[in-house]
Amino acid sequence: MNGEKNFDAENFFGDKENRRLALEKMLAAVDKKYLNQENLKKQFLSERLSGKTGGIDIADKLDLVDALRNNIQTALDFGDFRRASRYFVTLYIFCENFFRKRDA
Amino acid sequence: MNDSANGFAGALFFTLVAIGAFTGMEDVFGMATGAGGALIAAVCLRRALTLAEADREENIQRMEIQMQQMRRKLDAAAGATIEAMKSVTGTKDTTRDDLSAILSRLNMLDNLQVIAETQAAVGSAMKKIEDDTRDMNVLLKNILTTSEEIFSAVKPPAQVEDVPDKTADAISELSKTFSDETKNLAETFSGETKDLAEKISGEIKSLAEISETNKKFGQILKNPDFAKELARIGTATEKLNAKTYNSIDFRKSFDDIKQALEKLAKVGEEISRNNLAITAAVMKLTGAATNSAGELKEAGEKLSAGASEVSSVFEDVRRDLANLAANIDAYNGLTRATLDQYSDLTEQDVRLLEGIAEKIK
Repeated sequence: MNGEKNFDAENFFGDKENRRLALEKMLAAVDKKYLNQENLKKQFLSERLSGKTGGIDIADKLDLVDALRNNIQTALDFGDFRRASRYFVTLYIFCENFFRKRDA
Repeated sequence: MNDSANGFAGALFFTLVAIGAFTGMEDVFGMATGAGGALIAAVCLRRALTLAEADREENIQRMEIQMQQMRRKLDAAAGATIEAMKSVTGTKDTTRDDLSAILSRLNMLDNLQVIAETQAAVGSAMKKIEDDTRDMNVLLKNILTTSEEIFSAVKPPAQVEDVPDKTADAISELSKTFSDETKNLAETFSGETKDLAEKISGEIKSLAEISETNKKFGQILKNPDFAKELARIGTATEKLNAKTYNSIDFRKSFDDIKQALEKLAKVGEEISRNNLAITAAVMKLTGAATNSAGELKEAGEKLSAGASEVSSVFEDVRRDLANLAANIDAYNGLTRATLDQYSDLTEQDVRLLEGIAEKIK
């Protein structure tokens, strides 16, 4: 993120507004890194070229990503940072495995 | 094992055996040749076995390398699996926390059920109070009606000696009623006499107008004698008419006066009947007053009991409301504490987030 620090541990032990801002900033970083249009197009072509027919489709995977994002936003709106952070970790691991496997 | 080495060893061995068999020599040379061929075949066989052993060693080393590669891949996959398992563990903890929160809220729901039952009891008590109030209102209305009947009584019975003040009031009321009736009669009679006088005056005026017309008629004829005679006749006629009318009107007035006297007599009889009815009513009211005193006392006792019951119910209501407020405060405090407890980040969450932040920089 252009050298800017995405996560500040002190912020998470600060007030609630700082925690919310830090989590939203990390969510934006995940969007920019994994869930941009170019990356999704590459993923789609990769799946088509590999001839995959079984398993969940890319649209289902994106639905899962949307559901996770909605859960994170809802938890942030309610001030439930623990739930938001755990949904975020799940989203990150899913994106990491999903795209890194293709790039490897 | 190397297939080419095996084939070479086998072909050489069988060739030497075939040569030995083809020569078919049974002497020492043949035996030596056979032994030498067998030895060469053995050497070739050993060479082939050595090559096969080297191939096997190479294969084992290749397999070890492949196993090492597989181990590295498994390590890489295990890292992702461990992270996923940690996430699953975190989700499991969250679910357990949710279940704990649900359990605590179910306990709060039990409290709410107690509150609802208390509210139903309060509603029942309020309905009972309303019914009692309605009964008391009816009773008070009856008492008011009875009191009005007592206080509107015009004459107490002579034989009732224990209520002298009411007797005096009743006598005064009866005297007033009799005076009013007499006054009404006098006014009626006076009004009728006045009407009769006005009617007589109107008749006289009419006769005067006729006389005036006759006079004018005489003047029109312009005959002094006839006029004089007519005047005389007119005067006589006028006097005669006046007498006649007076006689008729007097008789009519006499009849009217007679009718008025008869009406007055009827009114007197009506007043006597009313007096009797009033006396009976007063006697009845005296009995009713005695009964009303008992009813008043009973109603007072009921009112007192109702008031104490109302006080008790309101005390219960106040106590229930205090309990309700305490329960609501406790519920709010527990909800706040639960939210604070389960919504904050743990050290493990912070470490995970720090690691992810470093990776997505």
